[in-house]
Amino acid sequence: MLVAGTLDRAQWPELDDEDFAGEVGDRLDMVGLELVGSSGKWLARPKHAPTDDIDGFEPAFALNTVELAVIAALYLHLRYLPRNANRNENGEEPSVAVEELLRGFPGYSSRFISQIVVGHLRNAGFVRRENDRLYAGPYLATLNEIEADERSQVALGSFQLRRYLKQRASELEDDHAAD
Amino acid sequence: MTIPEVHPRSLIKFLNKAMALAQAGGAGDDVVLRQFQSAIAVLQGDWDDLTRLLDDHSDNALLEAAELVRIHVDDMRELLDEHQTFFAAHRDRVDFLDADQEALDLVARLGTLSAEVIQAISGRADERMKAGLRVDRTDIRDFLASREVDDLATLVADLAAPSPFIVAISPMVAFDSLSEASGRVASTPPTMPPPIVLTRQPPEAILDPAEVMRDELRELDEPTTIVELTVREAWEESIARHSALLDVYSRWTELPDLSHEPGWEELEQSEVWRVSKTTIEMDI
Repeated sequence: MLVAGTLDRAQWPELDDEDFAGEVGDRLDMVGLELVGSSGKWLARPKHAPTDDIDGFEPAFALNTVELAVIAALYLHLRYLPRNANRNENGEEPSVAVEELLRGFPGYSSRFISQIVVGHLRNAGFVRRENDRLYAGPYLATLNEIEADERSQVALGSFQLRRYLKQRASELEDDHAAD
Repeated sequence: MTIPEVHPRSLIKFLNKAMALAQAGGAGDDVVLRQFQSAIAVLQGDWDDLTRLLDDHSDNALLEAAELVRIHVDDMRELLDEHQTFFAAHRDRVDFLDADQEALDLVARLGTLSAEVIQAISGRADERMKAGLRVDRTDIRDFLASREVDDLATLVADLAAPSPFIVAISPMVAFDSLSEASGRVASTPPTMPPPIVLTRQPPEAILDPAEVMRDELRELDEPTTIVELTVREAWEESIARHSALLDVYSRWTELPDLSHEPGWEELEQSEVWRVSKTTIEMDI
């Protein structure tokens, strides 16, 4: 079942038993998968993402660049931001409006991002959609958050730094123009 | 300006020496000014490079540019100090004053910006900078909008593996579904009803009020007033009969003569108020 879908954690208390989970984990390990509990679900994920450059290997399911970019955006909105901005102190599940996600991809049509890309990611378990809001799916919750947070911090820090320095350069030029 | 075989780091220092040599050799003031303007152009190029690199993603390139700028700024300060007397002697010339002012401004701007870049990139940001690095929704939005999808994808490229879902299909269910699907019949429109022959019916005969009135006229055997002939109790019937009478006289000939008298006949027992005094004579 774990290679064909996810298991609701509430309905599978057996997997909270260490021995039972260990046995399941061992069996998954034999086929390169690992057992992960996340967002109220039990799921299996590849231990190492297979790379496309292996001769003769053609992945049955692959994420393209735009899908990865949307996963990164969802991660920043739904995982990184709530942890780093002390949001959701009221305990609500982090979510983001579809409209907000679209603002990050001005070069793409809203239909392509909101229906095709998000639809694919929803089927793949990375996101849940309820009305016009998006919530983290179980596979988004299983991203290695230490690594992902570190990369996000570097990228966002560099972005903010440059934005600040550009603002300073603009101020200095304005001062010069005023003189 | 391009000066061959001079390292970019030493450009302004080189120009400083060239200015000194020109003055010592008795070259004209304009020659010295042009050399000074070349040094200013180097600084302006530094400003353009530095602000352009703020849009680049390479911290190393930005840091290297800022360090080169800092050297050029120091060299320009030295140039301005060494030639202070020369510039003071030409305060009456606008072009010298403009160049001097531009050099001082560039030194100030580049000195500030390069110091802030070096400080920021080297991780020695002050408290104001640190406060600015808090993340909110707007930062995320602006960051995402400023990046190409390729850059964003690299954030999670080797972390986000697709789910290993393998769709489990039961052959029994598959063939049952095929059987059900193949047994379906495409829907067709309902058949048309058989044709029937329509019977033609003559239209209902409607009496022409004018013809009725004409017949009434011809049946009169004594002089009759218009009131007697046309006026009835209800207004609608009276006006219909009166209109029919007018129609008769407009369509047929050989009708009784009409004799008109001045004045009106006023009626009390009808909805008609009054009618002109007209009599239908019988001598056709």
